[in-house]
Amino acid sequence: MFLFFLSLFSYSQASADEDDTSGVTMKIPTICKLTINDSDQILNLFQDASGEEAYEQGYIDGDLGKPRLIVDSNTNWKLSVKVYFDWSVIDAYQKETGDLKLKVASTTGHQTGFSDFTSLSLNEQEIASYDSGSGDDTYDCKYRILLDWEKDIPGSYFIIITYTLSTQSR
Amino acid sequence: MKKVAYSLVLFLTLFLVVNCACINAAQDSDEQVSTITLVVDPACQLGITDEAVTETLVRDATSETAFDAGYVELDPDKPTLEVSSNKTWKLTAKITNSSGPYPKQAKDLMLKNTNPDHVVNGFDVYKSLARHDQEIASYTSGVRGESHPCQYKVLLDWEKDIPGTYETTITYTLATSGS
Repeated sequence: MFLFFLSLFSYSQASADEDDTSGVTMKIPTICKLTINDSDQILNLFQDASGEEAYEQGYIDGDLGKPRLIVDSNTNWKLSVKVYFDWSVIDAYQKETGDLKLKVASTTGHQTGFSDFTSLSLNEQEIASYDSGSGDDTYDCKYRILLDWEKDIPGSYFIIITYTLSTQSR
Repeated sequence: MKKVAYSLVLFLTLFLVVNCACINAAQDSDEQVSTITLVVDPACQLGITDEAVTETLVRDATSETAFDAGYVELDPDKPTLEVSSNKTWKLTAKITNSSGPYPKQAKDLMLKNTNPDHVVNGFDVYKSLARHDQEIASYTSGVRGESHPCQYKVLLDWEKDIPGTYETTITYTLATSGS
């Protein structure tokens, strides 16, 4: 009898369940990515009727979608633009910063500015923002450069524009 | 033993709170650059209005007066030239074709440019045209839609200018110049 109980006790011990836990911690930082396509453009005012027409209408337009901005962010974000390097000087003539205009066509509805041609400046100007994350938000841009017969002498004018995507505090 | 466990739990809690706070506080930003190059060639545009001018000398006192005076003035501001240029420019004029009952001299056609600013070469008053280019206006910088109202004057001579129709074509040329 004693042996029977001993045997039962031993069997029970061998078949006892045991739970272990495993914890997984994933740290996701605030992260955003700005992609730019067709970022650089060369606009030529040729010595023909097209150049004269551009001067007469007072501007020359770049192509739509140049550049194209693509926004990815996992939290609140803001997309802004500013002139980083102003027009290069031609024979002591400094073309006005605001002669460069930008128009943006958004496909996502998060656009807050630049729905029509707006002059750029050396200060940040908001293009779009959103209070949540976004994936592949696309913004097709188009440049317009104002022209003036009396000011814009022949030469090669160069300007650099910076687009900044930044996450925002909640 | 209880004290040690309590301390451990407290440490872990504080670690998690601080760590989460740091992750939330760190903002991210991304930047991309776009460049534009605008290449501007020398460009100019010349417009002309009221380019065809006709004067008829009828058989009355006015014609006699004109012949006696030795000239007839045509309508003012005909033609009017409009100059646009993005740099130094010059505007020239020359007679390129003429016809009539006899070869009337080119210098019998005179021109006056009444623009107040950039007239040169004496064309602010009547001056004879020629079969070669003569500068009638110029400027050392760009202009936009600058108007140059002109007026013709035809010299008349009782002895030479027999009845008939005289036609002359004048060509105006706007050109950028200099560096």
